[in-house]
Amino acid sequence: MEKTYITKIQALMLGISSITVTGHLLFIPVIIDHAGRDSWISLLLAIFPAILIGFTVALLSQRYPGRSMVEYCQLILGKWLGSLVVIIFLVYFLHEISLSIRGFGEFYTSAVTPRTPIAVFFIAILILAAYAVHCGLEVISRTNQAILVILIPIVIFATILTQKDKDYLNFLPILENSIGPALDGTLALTSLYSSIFVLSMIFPYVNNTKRLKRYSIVTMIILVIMFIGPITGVVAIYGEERAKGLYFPTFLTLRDIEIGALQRLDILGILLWSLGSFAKVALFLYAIVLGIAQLFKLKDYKILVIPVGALVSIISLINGEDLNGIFRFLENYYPFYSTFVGLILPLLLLIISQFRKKPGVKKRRAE
Amino acid sequence: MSRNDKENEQSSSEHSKEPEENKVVLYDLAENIKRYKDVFGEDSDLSVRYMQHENLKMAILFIDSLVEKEIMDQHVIHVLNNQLNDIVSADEEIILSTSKTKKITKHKEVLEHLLQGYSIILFDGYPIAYAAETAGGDRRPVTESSVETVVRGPRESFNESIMTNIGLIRRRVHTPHLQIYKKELGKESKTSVAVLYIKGIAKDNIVEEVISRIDNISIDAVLDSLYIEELIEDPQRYSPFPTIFNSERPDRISAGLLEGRIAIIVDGTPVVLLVPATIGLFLTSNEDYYQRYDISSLMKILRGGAFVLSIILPGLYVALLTYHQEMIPTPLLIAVTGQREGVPFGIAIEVAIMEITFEILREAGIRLPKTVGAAISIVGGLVLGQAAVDAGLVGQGTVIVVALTAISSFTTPSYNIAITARMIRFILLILSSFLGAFGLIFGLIFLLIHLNSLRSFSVPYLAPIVPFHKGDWKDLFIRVPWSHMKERPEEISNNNKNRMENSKVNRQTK
Repeated sequence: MEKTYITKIQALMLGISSITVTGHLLFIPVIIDHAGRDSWISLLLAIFPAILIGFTVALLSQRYPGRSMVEYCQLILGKWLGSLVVIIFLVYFLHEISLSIRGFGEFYTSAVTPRTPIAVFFIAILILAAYAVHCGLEVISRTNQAILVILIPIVIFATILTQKDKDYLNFLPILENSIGPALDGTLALTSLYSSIFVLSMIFPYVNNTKRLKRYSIVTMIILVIMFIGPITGVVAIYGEERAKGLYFPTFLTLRDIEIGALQRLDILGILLWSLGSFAKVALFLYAIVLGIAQLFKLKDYKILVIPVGALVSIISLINGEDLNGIFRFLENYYPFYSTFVGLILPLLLLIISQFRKKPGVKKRRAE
Repeated sequence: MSRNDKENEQSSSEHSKEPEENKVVLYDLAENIKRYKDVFGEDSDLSVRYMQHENLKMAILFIDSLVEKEIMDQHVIHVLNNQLNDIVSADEEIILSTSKTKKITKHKEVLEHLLQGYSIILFDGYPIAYAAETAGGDRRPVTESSVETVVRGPRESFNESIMTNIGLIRRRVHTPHLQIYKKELGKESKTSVAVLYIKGIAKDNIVEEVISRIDNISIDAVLDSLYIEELIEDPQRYSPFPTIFNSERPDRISAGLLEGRIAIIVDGTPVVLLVPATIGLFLTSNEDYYQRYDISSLMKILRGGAFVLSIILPGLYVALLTYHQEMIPTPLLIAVTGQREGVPFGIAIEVAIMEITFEILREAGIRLPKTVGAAISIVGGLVLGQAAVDAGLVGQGTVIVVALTAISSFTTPSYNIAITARMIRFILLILSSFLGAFGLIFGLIFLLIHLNSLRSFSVPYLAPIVPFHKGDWKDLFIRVPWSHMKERPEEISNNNKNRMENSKVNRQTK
């Protein structure tokens, strides 16, 4: 279907930018709501599940080289059960993309341009993603690479500029309510990192899968590091009480930067989240469209781009009544649901594939 | 060779409908000449000069407007006259003192040579013709380029003659590996086109691709290299971005050849094409390599910044003032909105009006004769700009923004990417007047995807940035000293990357 190949690093960069940006936008408030001033402990604990996720995704792809999630699910579980699991994954991706689009739209309508209807943002970002998907995986990954070149300096810049407002005494006392809330935060972070399973659609196009596991684990560690700044920063700047009530705390920290003539760096925040959300939407849209095409054995996935895009925009509208509804969902239900689909199911797949003697792979090698 | 035996055959074959290719030069001189006169028309610039020595009748045919009279007189007619006594029959090789002399027999070849400025010598009773190179005629001399000017560096520029142009490059690159593939293009115009590359530096597959794309061209006439450019562009040719570079300067083209690029020279135009072209090439001036590295690095950064400004500035101004007033520091906001008091239009309309006015002015400046050009700047700058502000039709801030954009766009070294920037500027202006900063970012992301999807002869358009090649960054936003530029560009030259003996590639192999 696609003959293009991307490098390992490009594939993993896609994972990094898509998880980081929606994570910063939507998940920081959720984690802070759960764990409060102990969020940093949640983050530390989240390293282990994160590594497990990265390991699982990479190992599955290495075990079935050149096959995407859709194909190896059917090899591991048989045709019917496998298809069912594939559909679960695809629905999960669909849900994930609609959530991040919704979050992106809500961010714009509540923080930047309140009078513009939210659908405008959905449609705009879907047009961009659809165009990128139409151009193919190579273009998506290269665009994302260029985006990361812009994103990382902004993030570092913002971290340095907010330094003077930070008061680390806000973290005391540690573990006031015992470890429970911190573990809740860890679960929320795990669910966020679970969506890296989308890379299982991309790995078949990586030109060299040697040492993929190591790279993917390093990626997960980078992802954890990317969250240190915003999670600790928000609590350190605003204190636990205020931080809990904020919708877009990371955006507010950018907005409050004031050093000499440099003030009101909102435009950087807008740039950051637009670029990152685009990367995430493009990656997930590509994964869904390619997944459907592979499931139904279509020759070309490109005809699916527009219908699926339209579907996504509608799903994001009916996702929740308002921003509060979205946050409630992310806080109470999403951790269990996403962790199950993105971590437990792949782990089960991995275990089952261990016992099955990989008939498909042998047959393929014989070819 | 007995003449009478074959004459009957010849005359009979003359009447049969023979294909044009198979026609040969006839035995009879008068018939021969009549045939060429029929082709060109009786009163054309085809000149015939008859000569006779004893029984041997000769005629020299040439097209008046294509030959150099001096060469004609001295090296053909004068020499022939001197040899007249020695020439007994045309079978012997006649000795002319022109640089190229050919013996030809085909009718078609005679026509081709005549049209290339050769003079044709025909003999009565022999089916042979001699073609002597006498091409000439007036050509513009090699002068300084008026489009790409430099403060320091070589000043020569190409002219319209393909041979002069190839010579200008050969004189800079004295290697025998400089290969030239020549071809005539255009069914009617028969324009010579030459593909130049350095064997061992250029990638073989790109060279093959270029040659095969040129071979596939079928067109009636090629009057400028743009015809070729549009015909051999990569499939995504509906992009506003040029994927083929052009220059009038031999030093620029030679530098490109030495990086492994491929030049395409078209006869009749001083504009030479260079492929594959990445976006960095369009934002580089050849003077970057003739000024000291620190200065040229600063200039490169400045120019890159100005290029970005020339694309986004009007859009950014409109977005900030219409949707995001809170992002502008308060004193600045008061200053800008204060001047705009009483201005009847919205900012977007105001900027659009001024931008369009400026585009009209610029176009007028190009079309006008140089002597009248100065008047335009007075009318445009003083009357329109000053008067519009005084009359309260536009704010001063808008005039400043438009002027800054315009000046920024003049810093772009390559004219065709500056035009691209002009087009994109308007699109971004419209987007940001509808959606504010998000519109601007939407446009920029779209642009980024588009640039990533572009390829110039299989080389990604954004080459050293994405895909990332660390070594090529030395010559992208800055230029490091020559002593550090040891390797050639990654994507373009794959075979032979080391510029200097002690380069990394060399060290690795040792």
